[in-house]
Amino acid sequence: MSKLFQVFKFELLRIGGRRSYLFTTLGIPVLAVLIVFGIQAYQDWQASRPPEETSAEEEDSKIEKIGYVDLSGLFGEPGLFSAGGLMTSYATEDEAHAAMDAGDVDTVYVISADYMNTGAIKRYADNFGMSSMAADSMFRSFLMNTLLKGVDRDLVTRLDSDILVREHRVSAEDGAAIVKDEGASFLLVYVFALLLGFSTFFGAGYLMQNVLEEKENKMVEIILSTIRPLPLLAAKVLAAGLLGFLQILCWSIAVIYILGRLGTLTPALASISIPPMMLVWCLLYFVLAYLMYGGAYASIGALSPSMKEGPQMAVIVTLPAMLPIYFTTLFAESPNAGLPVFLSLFPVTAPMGMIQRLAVGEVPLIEVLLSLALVALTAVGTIWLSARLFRVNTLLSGQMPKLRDLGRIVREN
Amino acid sequence: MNREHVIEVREVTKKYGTHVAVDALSFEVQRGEIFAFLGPNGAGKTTTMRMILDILKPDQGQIAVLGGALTEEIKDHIGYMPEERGLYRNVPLVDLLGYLGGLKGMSQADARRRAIQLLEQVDLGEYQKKKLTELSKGMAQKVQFISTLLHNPELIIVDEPFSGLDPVNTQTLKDMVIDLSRNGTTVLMSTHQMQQVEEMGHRLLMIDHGRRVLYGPVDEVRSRFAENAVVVEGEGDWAALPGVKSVDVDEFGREYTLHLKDGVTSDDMMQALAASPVHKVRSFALAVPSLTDIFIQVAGRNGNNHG
Repeated sequence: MSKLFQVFKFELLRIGGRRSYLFTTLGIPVLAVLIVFGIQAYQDWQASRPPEETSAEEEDSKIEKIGYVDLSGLFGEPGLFSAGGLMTSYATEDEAHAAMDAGDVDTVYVISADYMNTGAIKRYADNFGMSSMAADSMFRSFLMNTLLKGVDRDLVTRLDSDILVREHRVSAEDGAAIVKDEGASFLLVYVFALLLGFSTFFGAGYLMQNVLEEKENKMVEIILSTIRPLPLLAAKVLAAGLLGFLQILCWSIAVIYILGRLGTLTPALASISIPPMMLVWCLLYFVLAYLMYGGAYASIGALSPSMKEGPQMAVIVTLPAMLPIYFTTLFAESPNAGLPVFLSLFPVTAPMGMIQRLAVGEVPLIEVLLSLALVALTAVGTIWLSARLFRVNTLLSGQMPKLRDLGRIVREN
Repeated sequence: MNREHVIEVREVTKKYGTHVAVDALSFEVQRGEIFAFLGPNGAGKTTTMRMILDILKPDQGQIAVLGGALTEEIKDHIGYMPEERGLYRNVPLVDLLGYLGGLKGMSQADARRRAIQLLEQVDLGEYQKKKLTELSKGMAQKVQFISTLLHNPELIIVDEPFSGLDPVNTQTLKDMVIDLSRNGTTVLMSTHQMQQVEEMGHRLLMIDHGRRVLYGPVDEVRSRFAENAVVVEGEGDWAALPGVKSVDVDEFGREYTLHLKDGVTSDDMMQALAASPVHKVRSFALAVPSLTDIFIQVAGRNGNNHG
């Protein structure tokens, strides 16, 4: 068994076996699933109870009864809408108000005389809430049906329904071709971009914590007398990366399961289609981004004097890396504009930037490959740098070196 | 490389910026010996040991260990205990030692078995499943020492192995070091405890400001610093003896140091005492300075401030 694998296995078990890690990785998702189960069990219990008998009078009282005054002379009697006393016409506002005071109606609408020009309608009610919205919807249907009397019934129903929007992006190059159905696919890929961010930074965080621990417990000198810094760091990078990935995987499974239980995800999943190539890009960016940020975090860990300073210093990497998320709107509207292109090529912001561009439009292959190559090169650089700093700095006094000394420290060993 | 030399350091120099930590240093460590590595604080001892272990690279010079340049395979035959002690604090001892043994090429089962055996040898058998956080400082130091020799190394490099230990634990570890040496393990030991060097060390190297200032067999180095004098216990007028230049008496009035005139040897003085009817001698020895005296003399000459 190689030394690299031994360190990898040991770190995996040592960090992965901690109660805090187990609770965060398994405990929280299990707890969330149990809560959902609890809510569902309560709902099932409620549903299984025999319905309480309600009188016809009580049933009636739940439905908002509408009175209206037509000053425009366009609408007349309620016709079909008068069924069950649902809607009543009054000649004057006083009559309508008297009916409301007597409890015959709950809401009074007054259609103004110049309704056709202004659309003005006054509404009177004791209170405003969900039932008022239902009354508004009902009254709107009455107005439409009356005004469109004689028009095809299906047409009226269509006009009265909400519009169903499905977004299609038109290619910027040819200006005509419909290139992509986004909808649910965009949502899932966007979620993947966020998961990519979370998982890479969780993993990188574990790595930094591990390096700082190694410094604090003075173990590093013994280990370095046995294994070279690069394989040592590689083992730590792999272990922390896998632990971060497992954590996100558990959370993702829990979220998908919970949404499935709630019955909201299944139809959405059915309509989702992600091109296989998109998944390949996402996976490549996950691996390379983790290595790049992991190397940077490990370098920060090697430079930081203690557990307190490390996470504070990590903001230097985290903030710029998240920059594309702040420009999400720009990425969605103009994915091939100057800034999105720059952010998707600049290594620090490339993972988040390119995933967002890929999610919303076509990106020239050469740009994706260039971006991946730059991220890979930077990853090699940060891992190499962390190994150099890990080797020297950890063995020094434990004080934070000055910025001007960094070059010398890296060169000297 | 000489087969008898476990370590060969040739003209090695190491600089930190403008500061020269080790300056053209050369020495050898022979197979099976206990080699004492001495020097005042900041003399370059730790840097030298780190270079021997390939943790740091020398700027100039060559280092050969166990027959050549240090490879991963050769590292498996070395045990190292640095001055700054440290082990994972929240891992059971037997798991921790099993891991460290595994890194040195042992199978997990062998490493764990040997760990338990060594823990029992230093009276820590009952703590094998405990974590380091549950142990006293002295116990933790014994565990650290065990981790150094778990894999039966050919060479162990230990930095201040007895610091912070009580006399009983010091004796336990001393006995283990002596046993290792008798069984052919080479020990390079950096220490400030001169008494231990006098008792255990075969040869010594003292460096100061990164340079070699003393080097050779312990007895030879002490003899080199011995002046022309003898120490006696007994009765009589010591100053009246022929060949005696002056006499010093110790603070208890028991031991007399007889400083001899030029050309007079200790053998001459022994004969003179045997022939004298007015002197009674209970003990007679060469006046050899202690290593502590030599250390202070040499380090002081080099302008060190020990505070």
